Amino acid sequence: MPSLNVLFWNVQKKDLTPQIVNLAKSQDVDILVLAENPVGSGQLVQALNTDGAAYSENHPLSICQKITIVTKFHHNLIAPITESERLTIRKVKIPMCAEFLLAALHLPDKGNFSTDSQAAEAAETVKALVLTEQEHKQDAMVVVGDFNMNPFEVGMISTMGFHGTMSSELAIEGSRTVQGRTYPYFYNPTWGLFGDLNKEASGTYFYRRAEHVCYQWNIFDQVLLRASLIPNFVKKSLCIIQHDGVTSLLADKKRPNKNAYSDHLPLFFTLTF
Amino acid sequence: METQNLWPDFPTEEIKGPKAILKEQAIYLSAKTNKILSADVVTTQYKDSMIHSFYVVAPALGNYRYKLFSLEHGALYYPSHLTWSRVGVEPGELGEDFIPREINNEEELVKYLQAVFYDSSTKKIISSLLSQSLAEQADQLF
Repeated sequence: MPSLNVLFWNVQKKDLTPQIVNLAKSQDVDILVLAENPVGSGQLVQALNTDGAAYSENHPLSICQKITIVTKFHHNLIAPITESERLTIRKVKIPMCAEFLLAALHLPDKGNFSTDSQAAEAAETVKALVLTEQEHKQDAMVVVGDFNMNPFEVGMISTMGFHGTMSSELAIEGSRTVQGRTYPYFYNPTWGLFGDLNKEASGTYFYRRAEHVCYQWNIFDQVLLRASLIPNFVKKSLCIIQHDGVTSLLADKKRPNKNAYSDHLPLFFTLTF
Repeated sequence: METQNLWPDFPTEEIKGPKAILKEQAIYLSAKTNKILSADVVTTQYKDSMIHSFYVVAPALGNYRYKLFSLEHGALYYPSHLTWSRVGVEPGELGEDFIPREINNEEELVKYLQAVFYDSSTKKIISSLLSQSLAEQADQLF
């Protein structure tokens, strides 16, 4: 059964080419999605292909500045169809795999946007996703990226936002009706990644401030799936990557090694077709 | 006893709202590019806000669309906030242009829209989409 390994990483505007190459190899990554990547995709692909791999550059049409996507298949098979500075929606048409839409994003951070503004941005982003789904008559969509919100925040769960639910059983129902209006669900499996029960890092991003309410560990890096793609999602594959295959991405106290690498940890998952 | 009508007379002059202005500019873009590119205004309602997103559309590139900016206002048209990011700035500068700008009247909106349209970042995006669309059209001819 054909499968696609997807890895997302916010590299914090750092040239982490050696770590990205290690990750691509160790995780056998098919679709590599980077946020805040300062390295040209040509240079990155050259490094990725040193050992005989055949990654293809980010699609030349893409204007989205915040996201870079390199793939093991030709970029024409993952062409951009809707974009903004922070969002790219690609139509993925790979032989042997059912066609689907891949949206990758990096939403505004909490330093610049209030909770309300983040929720409004989520609503506007979802409008772009829905319009693209309608225009391309395709409801199989996966959204991955740095949402700069936790899965439980208003922008992530509200019907006006991403309308993400932690339950695949609920999400597979397709939609929910509120006040006579129907809102499609996203399945958000990243809820399951909180805490340190089966891993060292308790989230993808650590942030501490001397205030009374502070989560400290956050999961800003998430993947969401529409109902029709849930059967393709390998639940057990979803993980926060803590090691690039050669070196640990964690520093002391099991937090992201933001001095050497990124303040975010990568997110990995597999889709099968 | 029936009270008299306490309401004042309301001005009936037609006010052109921000969305109407954006739609006009969408038509102008199409004309300016000989219909090779078009534009679309998509409105999202969130709480008490209306958010109008201005998309440039390239029909020759599989209807590829790029959101150039968005404009948000409440029940009143003004003040409205324009959110726009320049493409092609240095990585360290990213985000600085993302701060919503307050626009207090139609005159300011028109002025600011012109500044966005004339900015080198916007010209770069439009030129790129235009040349790729022309190339695609040429490919289809031969």
